[in-house]
Amino acid sequence: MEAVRHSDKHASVPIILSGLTFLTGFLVTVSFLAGDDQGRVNLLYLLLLFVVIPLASLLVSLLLLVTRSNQGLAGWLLSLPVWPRHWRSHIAELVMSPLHRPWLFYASQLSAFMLGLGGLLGFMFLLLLSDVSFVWRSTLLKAEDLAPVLSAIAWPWQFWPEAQPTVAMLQTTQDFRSGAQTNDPRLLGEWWRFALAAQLTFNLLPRCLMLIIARMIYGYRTRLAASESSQLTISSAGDNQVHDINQSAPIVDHIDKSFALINWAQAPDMCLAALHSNIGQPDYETGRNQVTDSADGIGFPPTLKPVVLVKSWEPPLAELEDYLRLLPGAGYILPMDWDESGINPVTPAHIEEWCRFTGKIPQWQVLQWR
Amino acid sequence: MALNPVFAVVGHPNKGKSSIVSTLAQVDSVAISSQSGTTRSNEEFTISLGEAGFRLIDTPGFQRPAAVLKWLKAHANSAEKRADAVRQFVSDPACIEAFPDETELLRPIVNGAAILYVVDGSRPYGAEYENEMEILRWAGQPSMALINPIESERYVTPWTQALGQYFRIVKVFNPMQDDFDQQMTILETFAHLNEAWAEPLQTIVSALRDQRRRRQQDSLQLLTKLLIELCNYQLDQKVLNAQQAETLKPALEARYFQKMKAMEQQAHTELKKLYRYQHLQSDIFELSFEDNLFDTEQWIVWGLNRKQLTMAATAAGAAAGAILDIGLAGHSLFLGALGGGLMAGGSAWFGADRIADYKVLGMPLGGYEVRQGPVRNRNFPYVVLGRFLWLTHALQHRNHARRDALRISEGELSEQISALAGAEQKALHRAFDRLVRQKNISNLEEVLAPLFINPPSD
Ligand SMILES: Nc1nc2c(ncn2[C@@H]2O[C@H](COP(=O)(O)OP(=O)(O)O)[C@@H](O)[C@H]2O)c(=O)[nH]1
Ligand SMILES: [Mg+2]
Repeated sequence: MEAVRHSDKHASVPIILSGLTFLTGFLVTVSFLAGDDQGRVNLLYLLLLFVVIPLASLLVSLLLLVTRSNQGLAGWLLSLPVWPRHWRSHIAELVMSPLHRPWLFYASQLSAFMLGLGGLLGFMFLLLLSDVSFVWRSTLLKAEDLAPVLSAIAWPWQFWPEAQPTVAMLQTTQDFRSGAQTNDPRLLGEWWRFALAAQLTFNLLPRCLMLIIARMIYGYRTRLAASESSQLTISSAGDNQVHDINQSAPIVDHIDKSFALINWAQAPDMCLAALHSNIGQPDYETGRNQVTDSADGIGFPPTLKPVVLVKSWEPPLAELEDYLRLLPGAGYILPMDWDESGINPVTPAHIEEWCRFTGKIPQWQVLQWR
Repeated sequence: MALNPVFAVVGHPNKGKSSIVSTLAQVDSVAISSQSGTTRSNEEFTISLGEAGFRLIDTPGFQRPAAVLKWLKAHANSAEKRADAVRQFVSDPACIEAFPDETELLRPIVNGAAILYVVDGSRPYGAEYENEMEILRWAGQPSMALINPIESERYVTPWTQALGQYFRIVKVFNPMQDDFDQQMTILETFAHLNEAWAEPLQTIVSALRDQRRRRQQDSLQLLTKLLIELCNYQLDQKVLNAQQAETLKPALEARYFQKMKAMEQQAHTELKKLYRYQHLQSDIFELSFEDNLFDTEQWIVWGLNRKQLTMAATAAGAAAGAILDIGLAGHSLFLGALGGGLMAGGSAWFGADRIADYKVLGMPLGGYEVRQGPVRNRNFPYVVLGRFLWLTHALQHRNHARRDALRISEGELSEQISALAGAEQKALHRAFDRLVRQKNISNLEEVLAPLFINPPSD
């Protein structure tokens, strides 16, 4: 659930960012290529926009990738104080998430790609709906000086001869602010192919490549994180239920009748002595092994009331219950606590446990003298 | 998978079998109770990493060991038939009927599980244990005894001697108290039962260690997220007029605090889940916004006191306001507003008199908007930090066998902060200064990391 919420935000932020950069690219290009009042655009500035800046920013991206910095276009945009308040905590959280570096890099590449795409569309828009005249001006440079530079730039698209610059083209498009305007307007438009090719080659294609790489890195890291977090598994089978709760048996502090002592706990003499002085002498005394091995399984005269002495700290076992159920009438369970140093009071928790156990046997009671 | 070890945890009722399984398997859903006979049937836990792993089986306790041994003796007249007699016992319908606990607990052993026999080292050894140990010996599987010193270690020595007669390996293990390293040591000891088990067990032990390290990282991220969410949270609502804005104030404030509490609670629940606690109660641990964040004892317990906050502000390079504040407080003190005046005097800069603002804003197209939040109080991020760190620490030092609720205790945030290096402290105070001014901080996680990587020792 958490993961889903997270990835929703992860998906929406790049979309919003790239929408913004797309718009920016479009508007900047359109306003730039609108040119001067005669619709003329300086070719050299165009080179700056379509070649130099994209190449420089690509270099920065590569540098950020190598240095693993978490800034980049998206990081920078997100750190601008322009976002609405309730957005900021989302942004801060995103910037903080474990995969934020590859994610930011991806978002940056996407934004940069969309910036370029916006620029391209702006360019096409103008070519379609307006006449763009490309001219160049220089005090120092001549057409012959500029030609080799432009040819070098156009080297990647040699297969497209129409988009190659020529000295003739340069000569016809050189513009002087003063002096007669001899240029054929149709020739001025010839540069659009060159500009388009430059835009595609130096901006969109490499950005597209970076975008794919960024996407792959992000995907890889996401999968890596997922596989790491699901490594150790602990599973369970079977049920472990607590069942019935029965009535607790009452506690009594003395017995009226004569009784038989069954020393189930094999308690030492000091316990027996304490018993004698607190509730009296039994009429019959026997041990656990004697009663269970006896012929009738009861092991004492049935006229006597049984008092079964048990270790208070040991939990009552079913084997005791089995024996008690064999007995004809009611009786008493006497839990005692002792160690080498003497007899100790029985803890309330142990009394409770024995009362719960004794409650299962009809008419049986727990015996505790004060 | 065939090589992966299986351990059946067996013994008398109420000696901590379920507790041992709970702690070693890190599950707090195992039924543990002071009432004996709580575990009626086997419950199996698989701890695995890919192919490697091991299984722990929590079993019911022995209930009729004497009668069972009698049955077994009647069905095997020589030593080589003993294991077969146990096998026969487990599948005999009459035995299943008469001895449900023993047939259930012996079944995994007959199927190849090793035996972990659990006794209580705080109570004396008794001959009545010999029947069940004899039965286990008949089963003929690798076995080991664990002495659980439930209340004390008083009878560990006699138990060790007695158990030595039946088991080759006898270890002391306390499922409630033994720390993580001791738990790992016990898991490694299990490997002594069978050489082939060393590898899967070692794999799991290192995976558990990794998991413990990763949890620190994950809790750090949780806290980072929580701090940012809480410190940036605000509530807006459109209203028609200034009067409605005023009447709405209590409701909006209540909603705001409720949401803040819920966010913190949610993060704490996630933290508990991270440490595999699904049932742990810690209700006493409420963040009370009703109290003033700065003045009450409650808050100072978790966050910083006025002096510490002033020092924090100085470190963050935001001291001017703090000094001005102290100056004013001193002035009023001079005028006779003693003690309480210093605290209750209301300091705008510290945000002492309120946690967050309630603002009425005029809208450009008419109407009003009211806004509650975001947090202004400088102590706030420290309080959230203190509480989160305390819980993390408590979870790290708790074993899954424990069923008691978490008890509140003093946080010592200022001590934990002063244990950091100077530059780290400064970075923390700076980051928190930015947090309460709702400025972006890209390195909050790095700033908080030192508090998690060196958790305070007990
Ligand atoms: N203080 C303390 N109590 C323990 C320890 N081990 C078990 N107990 C308690 O003993 C009782 C029985 O534990 P449980 O694991 O259910 O025993 P089982 O019947 O053998 O599964 C429960 O109340 C536990 O809380 C221990 O190491 N220390
Ligand atoms: Mg149990």
